[in-house]
Amino acid sequence: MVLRIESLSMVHGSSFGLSIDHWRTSQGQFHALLGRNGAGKSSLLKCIAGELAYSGSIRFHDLDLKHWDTMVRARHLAVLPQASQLNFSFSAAEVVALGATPLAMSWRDVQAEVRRVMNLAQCEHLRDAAYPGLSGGEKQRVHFARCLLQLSQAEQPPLLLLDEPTSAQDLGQQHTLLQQVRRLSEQAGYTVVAVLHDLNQALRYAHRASLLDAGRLVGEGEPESLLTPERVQVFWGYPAERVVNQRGEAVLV
Amino acid sequence: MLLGICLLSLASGAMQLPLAQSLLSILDQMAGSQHSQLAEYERAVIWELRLPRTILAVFVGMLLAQCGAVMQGLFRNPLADPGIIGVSSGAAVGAVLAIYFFPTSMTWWAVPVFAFCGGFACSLFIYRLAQSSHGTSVLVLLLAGIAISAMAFSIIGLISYLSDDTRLRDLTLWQLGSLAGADATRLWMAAIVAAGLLWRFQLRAAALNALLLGEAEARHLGINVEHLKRELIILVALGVGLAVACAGIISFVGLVVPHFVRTLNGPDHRSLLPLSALLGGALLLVADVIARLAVQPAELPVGMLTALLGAPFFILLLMQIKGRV
Repeated sequence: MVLRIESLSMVHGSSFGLSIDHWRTSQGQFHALLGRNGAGKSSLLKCIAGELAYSGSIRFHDLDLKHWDTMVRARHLAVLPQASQLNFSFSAAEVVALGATPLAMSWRDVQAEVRRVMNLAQCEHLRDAAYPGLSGGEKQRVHFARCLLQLSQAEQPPLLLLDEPTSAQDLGQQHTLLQQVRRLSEQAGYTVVAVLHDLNQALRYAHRASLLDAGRLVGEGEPESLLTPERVQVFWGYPAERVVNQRGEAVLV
Repeated sequence: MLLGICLLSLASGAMQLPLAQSLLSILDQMAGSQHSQLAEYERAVIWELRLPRTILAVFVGMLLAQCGAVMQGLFRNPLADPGIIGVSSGAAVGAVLAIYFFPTSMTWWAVPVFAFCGGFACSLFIYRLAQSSHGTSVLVLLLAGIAISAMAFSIIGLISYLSDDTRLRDLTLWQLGSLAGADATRLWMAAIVAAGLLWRFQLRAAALNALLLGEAEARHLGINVEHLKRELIILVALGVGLAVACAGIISFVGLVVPHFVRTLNGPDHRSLLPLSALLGGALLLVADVIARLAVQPAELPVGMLTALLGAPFFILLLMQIKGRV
């Protein structure tokens, strides 16, 4: 198990908290975090990312993430944020190149790598576009490319955290991005933890999924067995029906 | 370009002196020779007034423009300027207190040190105030600037009221911002700090770029954000404090110059910082030359001039980003 959480607890204000006894995922897994709004998905992701203070332990490659050397950690853990505050007019390629901050690379190598990861993230055509003028979806893809560059020199298989990575993408872009993420996990051994809102995305792309409610873990397993119409009714209050499409995949409608 | 403006500055002023002769006299002075045909008093004008003043203008301009650029990066906000958000006012209060309590001629260090403390306290306070999970708020920044400036000017007013005639004269002259008081101590201090900041800021340029993404993102990229912020705030306070101590409040240089460089050359701090320093030096020098020539044989305070030119620019900038504030 490459990523383990033990007796995690986090208090946020007076009303909301997160309390998880055990949670783990193995290397090369695309693990989806599901739950309705306010269930604690993003908070859990932020705890793993180290953005929120918590008690308990989160270990990655058998070492508590708090004890990782800052630079080594930066090469092994990247976070794709929902939105970024950047409002200076960098070009998209310059934003991607910021991913090389923790890497020891020559300028020429960085340029070559920027081209490669922008290609992977399907945003190569945006190279010279000014970042603040991009659409929400384009910005997300630029940051995705930045994360890929950041992890490109990891000595051990890295961890990629995604916070609603497809919230601003159209249908085709959602597919390419999640396909790409799944390929990274299967072929390069990336461990991916992603907050997803679309349950069908979890069914189609994730290897495993965890269901959160009111800051607690209420279910964990393969998406197909976890996402039953009954659970969807209980946790989302939506009368879902499960059908099998022509490719033999389960779909919730 | 900077060199050209330096020459212009040497040659211009209330007294008309030929440029070539002026240069010769400087070389004479350095080499101990006697080639220039300027009279003794003319040489004194060049060597003791214009040359130090020119050099001081360049260094103060460098300080202000660099600190403006760094502050904008630190606040992730292109409108942050030491003058507008009140850091200069804080430094000014420190300097005024120093002028009041220590007769300036006796304790040369008092004004810069007090100005640094005032500027530092203000930067820290404003940073805490404007900080939120979504970065820093423009609104809070500007309002804090107004509040701090108002408070600062009331304190300065109070001290002026309490002062005797000589001190009052010193205070008023200094307050308007002038480069006329260039002496060797100030020159050396400004030179050392300007060069030191140029070097330190350059080391932090890549980290500043990452910081523009947001604090959380910068941390994920391996930047020790707390450490970086603390260092930069101290350095900016040092730069602004010294600039204020040497030349009074000169606003808008720190705003206009980095903005201009960003428009031409992009926001990458690795080139933004040195270019801003160069252009800042040149701009302040031009402003000083204009201030000297505009109402000959009297002089305009250079701080008044930069504010006169800078304020409309600032309003223009505000109009551009109006939708996003």
